[in-house]
Amino acid sequence: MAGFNFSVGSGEGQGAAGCFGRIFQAGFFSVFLGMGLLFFVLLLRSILQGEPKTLVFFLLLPLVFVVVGAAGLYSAIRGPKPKPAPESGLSEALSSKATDPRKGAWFMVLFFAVFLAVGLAVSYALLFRPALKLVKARHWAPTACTILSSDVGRHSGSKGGSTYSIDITYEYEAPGGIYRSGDYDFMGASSSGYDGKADVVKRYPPGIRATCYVNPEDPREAVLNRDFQAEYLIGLFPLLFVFVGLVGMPWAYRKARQASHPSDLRAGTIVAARGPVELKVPAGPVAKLFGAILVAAFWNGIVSVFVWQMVEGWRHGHPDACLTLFMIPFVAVGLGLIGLIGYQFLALFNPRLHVTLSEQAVPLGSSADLEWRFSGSASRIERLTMTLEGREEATYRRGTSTSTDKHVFCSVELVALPAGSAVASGRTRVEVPAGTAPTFEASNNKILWSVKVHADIPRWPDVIEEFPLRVLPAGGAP
Amino acid sequence: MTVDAGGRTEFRPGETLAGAASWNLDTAPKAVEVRLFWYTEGRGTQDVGLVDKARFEQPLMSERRDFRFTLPEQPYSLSGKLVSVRWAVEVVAEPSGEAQRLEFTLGPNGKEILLGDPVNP
Amino acid sequence: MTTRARDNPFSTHRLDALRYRPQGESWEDMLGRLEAMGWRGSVVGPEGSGKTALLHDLAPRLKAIGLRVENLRLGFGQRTLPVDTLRRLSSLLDGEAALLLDGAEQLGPMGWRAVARSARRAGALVITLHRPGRLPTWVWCDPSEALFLELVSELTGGCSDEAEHAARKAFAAHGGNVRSSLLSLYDAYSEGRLGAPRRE
Repeated sequence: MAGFNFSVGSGEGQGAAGCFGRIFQAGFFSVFLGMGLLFFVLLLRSILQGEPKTLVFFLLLPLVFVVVGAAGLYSAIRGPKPKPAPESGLSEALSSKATDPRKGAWFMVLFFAVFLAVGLAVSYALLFRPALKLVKARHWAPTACTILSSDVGRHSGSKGGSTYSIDITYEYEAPGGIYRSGDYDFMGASSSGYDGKADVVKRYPPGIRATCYVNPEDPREAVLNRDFQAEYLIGLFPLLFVFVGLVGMPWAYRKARQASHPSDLRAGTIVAARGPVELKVPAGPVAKLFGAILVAAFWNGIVSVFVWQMVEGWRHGHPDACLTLFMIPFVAVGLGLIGLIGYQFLALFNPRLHVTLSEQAVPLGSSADLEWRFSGSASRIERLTMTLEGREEATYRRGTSTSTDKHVFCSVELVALPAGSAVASGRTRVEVPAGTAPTFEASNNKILWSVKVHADIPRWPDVIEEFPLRVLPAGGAP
Repeated sequence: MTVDAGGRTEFRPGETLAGAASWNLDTAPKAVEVRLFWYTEGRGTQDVGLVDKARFEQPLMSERRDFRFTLPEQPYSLSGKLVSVRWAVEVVAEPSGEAQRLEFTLGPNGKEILLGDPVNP
Repeated sequence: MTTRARDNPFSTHRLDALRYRPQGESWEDMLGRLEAMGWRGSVVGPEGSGKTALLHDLAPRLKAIGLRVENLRLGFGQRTLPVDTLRRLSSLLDGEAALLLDGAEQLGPMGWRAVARSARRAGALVITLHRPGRLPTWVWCDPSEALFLELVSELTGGCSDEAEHAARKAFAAHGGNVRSSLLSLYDAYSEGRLGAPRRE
């Protein structure tokens, strides 16, 4: 009997980085779970308060958040799933160590697809639908109505706090008869902040005549306030999930494809799609800024809780020296992350680099034309260098953590230009040396090629980009 | 157990590797597999990629069987400072796990690529 | 020219193939002691002290006495095991089976209790820990500099003076962590700083 051999979290991505990753994962999915529960409660309230019953179907969407959040949180707490480990002892076969393609990689595609789908659906409910109504309501007929009741609704939250809503009922006459509505605006949700809602309620005491706006296409629908308000901005939040889904899906798809076909091992001719391609960096400047903001917000959000306690202690004459000393490195990292936001923000104003290669993949010993163009203020560039680089990457286990070493085995200068008109755009030939190795990617060992660009801008973040390049075996058809 | 590749140890991508595996075991195995695979050695945790295999069910205790594989285009046999990629054919008996391996090189000239060196003639 | 990766004696596959060296006793002595402990014990030692290598070499010896061996290796922060894993352990671990658990120090109290419960009927249970606890200590892994130099000599086919000097320095720099020390010698050997490279 072969026995039951597996390693649970065998070191890939583990160690301090892995621990931090799991904390981040737990925090992220806690937020996911919380948002799902919040949206579920909000939607349920809206339905119970008389919103169109079709909203019932939308209840499924926050439940997806709840399920995904709960699953992700459980996974973070539990840790990585077990993976097969090489059997010790009798088998001498090296080939027995061959691992299957990571089926789990395709799960990530599905995960981000869910993100995207749910983000789009919730965006529709909280952003697009109210926005559309706001626009249409400009043409709704102002109609006299009578306020029947008016109060600030109080709703107990899960953590003991309360949220409030504007609960006004009014009656109006429209084609088809007499109607009643409880809608003040197009949001209808409850939120914290009592005073603003109390002011609104004061303006609409029971018995007074007021003006409401009635939907001519459906007289049952009416609102007292058809103006844009700050609360509508909450509808922007689900766009975050749309963004994550839009970014995550192609990334996960690429990873899944890599896992299924690590090195194009099928016998026969390697064929890559022909024709020019614009080389893409893994993350553009906006994504880098967004990432920096997310990381800084998350880190500083947690650190600020302890900093607040520390500051309060000093303010009230009970300083905690241990806490103060302990927090110094964390605050330093937090400040560094804020500085990174500044750096990435400045980098947004850098000239934007566009690189096109005449072939999507280049065989060894062959060449391709590379064209570049800077949009924006390329005149600020003091020097431009482009290099073709081939490097080895090896990932290994060091205790319970992993490290990746890199070694450049080939570096060919493509372009080295001082400031001048030639920097803004140009063309060069990329010749991949024969006698070296094509692109190879396995789980722990890789041979990678890239075009590295460095545009030196004095007293400003430089443009530093690396464009992955696929190099085929010699004779592989481009 | 032995495995041979027709006396050759250098191959080009797309060529056919034809050989024979023979064994003489104490008990009849449930199956014998001849596996074509690449593996890495060096700084990184070892990766192994199974490319093809030929399986012989319920063979005799002592037998010789031929096999043929069409070699893929890559990965090449190579060695750099951190990563080496090697190719091998291995005959494995099940369930005992006894094995015998024959290494060969796969490359445009049949030779191992040395990264960082001038082009191999 | 740098040494080819596959020729570097400090490549990971060669390090993973290093066998455990009992210090001052034989494997027979060790197995006898484990039997006297009811086939339940822990291998204790800091990171990189040879605990994994010991478990790896223990497995065939347990198989030789008729036990089926189940191997489990935990990663950093693995404080619990998935429920399906525990269920599978419970069904597989009978009196004819041994569980070798590498990285038991990662388990939290509840995680350890769950594993111990699943393995209660196992014929043998050996775990690795960084500090004594959970099970009686069977072997204490505390590699000496002399042992480390022996390993380096075995890997390189004989230690030159430069190699010995570099090895001592690496061992001290990595606080006695054998694996990290050996890994740190990879670059030095590759660049020829430990004597003539070895070719197959």
